[in-house]
Amino acid sequence: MLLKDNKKSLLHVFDDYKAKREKVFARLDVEKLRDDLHQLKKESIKNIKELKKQAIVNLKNFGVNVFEVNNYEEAGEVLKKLTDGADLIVKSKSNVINNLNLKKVLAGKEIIETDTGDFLAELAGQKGEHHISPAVSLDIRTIVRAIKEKLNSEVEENPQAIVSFVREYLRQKIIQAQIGLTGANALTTEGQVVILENEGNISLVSRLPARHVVITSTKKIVPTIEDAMLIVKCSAIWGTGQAWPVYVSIIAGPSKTADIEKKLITGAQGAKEVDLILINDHQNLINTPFEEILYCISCGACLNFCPVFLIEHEKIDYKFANRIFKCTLCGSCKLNCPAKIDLGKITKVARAKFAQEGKASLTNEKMIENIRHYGNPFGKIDSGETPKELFCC
Amino acid sequence: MPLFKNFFRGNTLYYPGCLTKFVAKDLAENYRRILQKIGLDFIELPDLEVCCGSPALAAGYSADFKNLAEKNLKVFKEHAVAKIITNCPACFKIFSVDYQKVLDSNWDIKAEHIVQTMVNSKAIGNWKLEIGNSRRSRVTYHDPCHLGRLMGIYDEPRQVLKGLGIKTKEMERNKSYALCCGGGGGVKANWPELANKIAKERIGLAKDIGAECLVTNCPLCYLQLKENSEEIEVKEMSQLIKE
Repeated sequence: MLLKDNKKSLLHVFDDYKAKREKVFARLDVEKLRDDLHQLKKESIKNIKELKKQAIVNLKNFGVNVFEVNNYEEAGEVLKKLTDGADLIVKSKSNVINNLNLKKVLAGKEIIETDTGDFLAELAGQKGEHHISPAVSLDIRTIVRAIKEKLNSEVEENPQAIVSFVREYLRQKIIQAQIGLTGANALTTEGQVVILENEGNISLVSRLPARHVVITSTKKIVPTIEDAMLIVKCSAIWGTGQAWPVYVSIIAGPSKTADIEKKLITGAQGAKEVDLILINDHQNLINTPFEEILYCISCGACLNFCPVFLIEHEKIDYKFANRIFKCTLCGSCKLNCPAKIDLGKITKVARAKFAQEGKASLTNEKMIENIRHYGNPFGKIDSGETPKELFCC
Repeated sequence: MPLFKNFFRGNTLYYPGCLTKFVAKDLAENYRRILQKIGLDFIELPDLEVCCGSPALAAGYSADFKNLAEKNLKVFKEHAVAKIITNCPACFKIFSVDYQKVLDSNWDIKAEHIVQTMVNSKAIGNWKLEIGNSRRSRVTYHDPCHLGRLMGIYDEPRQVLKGLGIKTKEMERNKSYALCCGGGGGVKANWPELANKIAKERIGLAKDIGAECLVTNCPLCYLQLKENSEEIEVKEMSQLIKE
């Protein structure tokens, strides 16, 4: 939840994004790209077990320590063991890591968020729900005030000054940290971890600390590095309106060198150890009407044009009745989804599930009773009368 | 009587939809008149037809939706309906896309949004308008989600407005990027405050381009935007045309 008392319109925040994206679209066969991504995700989810097996073998061959777990709780336990003895951990933005309750898992340790937006949102005591633009509803005054209160530093009220401050502050932390924690945008069966970014923080977090721990979900596995690049490309275009991101990291194990007498030494200038905690989450969604949720590449484009997010700054979430019934079924999300996920359809399936469980609103129950008895959503209408409640459409 | 025509291909039904039939009743009157002006033979089945099922489908009552589809199919078949004309984009989508999914090949009735009927009529250029000359160049068009994004009808409403002699200015978020009026999906009934806040954003976009009149052709968008219109005049397309 964001800015309860200081809500401003997000309507024009994404105008630049839209303009940039349209320029990129003009040079591409957008529909082909969307179909390709949909197909890639569909096939990968269908073959998830086989892909996972291959990926683990090849990751291990590259020297990555792989820990396969079944849920976030187990992932937390593994992370706790891996970070034993470390007191400073730097992390990058990741939706999977957000599900972990890091504060509890890593209690007593200093955990620093290094994505500028997330870092500032956290500093201001707010939880950003937008995948790509967590600080989108933070105003600059709130940011400056938070820096002063929490970090005891005076920063000018302009974006350049704030970014310079964040850069210096986080650099020190990243150099001092023993562990860098990241998610991944894709994993390949060939054994690579693929991460994209613009800021450069992920490159630093994954290379400067001695240990790099990747936490991600099996749904991110695709067959080849070329497939992973399709995900990178779509993430950049739909995420930020760029043709390609500033940085793409392909990480295939710890850093190494054989420069001295051709003897292979692991742990050169980047990370000395790479761990991967691979979560078998969402297995229960496969082969259900919700399966397409797993095609999501977390670009956030659906939110940029969602009329409800515009006002509420909260995602429509199929898991919660109080959120799923807020969807206006306007269809913007599907049209703006690079993976062509039919979120409107998922909304209707989720609503049907809640209605069956007796969790529909009283308003909807009244509407359907009216339809059952009178053949219209308004109920009995005497001639000359006009219904007051708009139980439509 | 159409039944005695040599090539009778079935009746054309004007189906206003519940919102027009029971709430925005003047629109039904307007559209009947428009169909007559165009010179189309049509029937109406106000006491026999039931809700198309759009609100039931949106709220997750799929069994009820199928039930309504079956009831309507029976009534329509009994009256030899071959084509439905409706002014409601939600009904239009339901008849065009969703009935087929639950009725399979039993559903073979064509559906048309009335703006498609109007766009094919050469008569519209001669119709007199309810909107003053000075305002005709300060009009913007709001794409209803069910008509635009969900059914791909973007050009026809603009062509009709042009045919009527109205010059439209486009809002920042139009066509496939059109911002929802906030009323759809049951939100108007369940979360009226949220719905109204979204509507005000939409009205704000009309203000941004200096529009004085916002025209749309969905009864829900119309009622919803009108309620939140502030100083902008909100009109349903049929209200532009003089009796």
